[in-house]
Amino acid sequence: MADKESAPTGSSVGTKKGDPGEELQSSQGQTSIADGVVTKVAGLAAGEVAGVHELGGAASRAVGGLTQKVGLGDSRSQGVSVEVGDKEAAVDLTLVVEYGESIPQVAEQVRRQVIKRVEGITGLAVVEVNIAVDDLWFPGDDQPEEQRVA
Amino acid sequence: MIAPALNPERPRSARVRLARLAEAVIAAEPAVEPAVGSAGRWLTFDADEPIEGVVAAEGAEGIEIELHLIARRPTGPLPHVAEALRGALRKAAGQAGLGSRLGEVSVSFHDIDLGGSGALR
Repeated sequence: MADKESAPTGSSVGTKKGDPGEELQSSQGQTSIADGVVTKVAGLAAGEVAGVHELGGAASRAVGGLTQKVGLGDSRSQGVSVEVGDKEAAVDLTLVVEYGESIPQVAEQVRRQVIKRVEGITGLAVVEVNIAVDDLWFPGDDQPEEQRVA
Repeated sequence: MIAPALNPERPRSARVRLARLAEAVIAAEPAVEPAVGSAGRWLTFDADEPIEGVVAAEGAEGIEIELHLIARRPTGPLPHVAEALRGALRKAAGQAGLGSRLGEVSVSFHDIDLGGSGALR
């Protein structure tokens, strides 16, 4: 079962011009950011953190592996779902963490990195980053098993 | 100065002229490319020639322009790119004598191209 952590960032409280979310509105027109943009940025930001082996739950990794082989999938959006409003965004992430790393510390670093990148690039205020750790990765997990018989 | 490629012999409405200016503004900004949308939702037709990524419509306060875009390897925040596009379009419209006709300019980023490695800068 996934270990889930969440925390509101509080960045939508007391916003002013120049704060994340506020610069998307102007008297001369509105700027909108699609879900797909936030999904890609959040996925890449999470992958930058040491201790994150992969994104996605078991099912999405299996399906993602197949779709990427035929050129349809994008590993950067695997394991990421977002809700995007006019000024704010919420991000849900599913991760595989490397064995030996502290899950709370990795989760906190992922949260900080996702907020920094999404707010920096899109201008949206990130109000929530929920992280589910779906699995642990052990060194050698990617090696094929040795045959027991000749 | 941004100069759209127009056939001078064909008369055009202010709406289409502003759409052409918007097309030229998009083409001059390396951090974006036009998005057409499924079934060509985000087009303006200049006779039979489509202007991609631009929707121009008469609104209550002038001709409203929507820019539909894909961000390409942005080096700065997308709201700043949007503001730069708005500013360039207002300037180009003013130079073309259409400044008073231009209404709101909304900018939508539908996707982002982060380059081959996908590394964020």
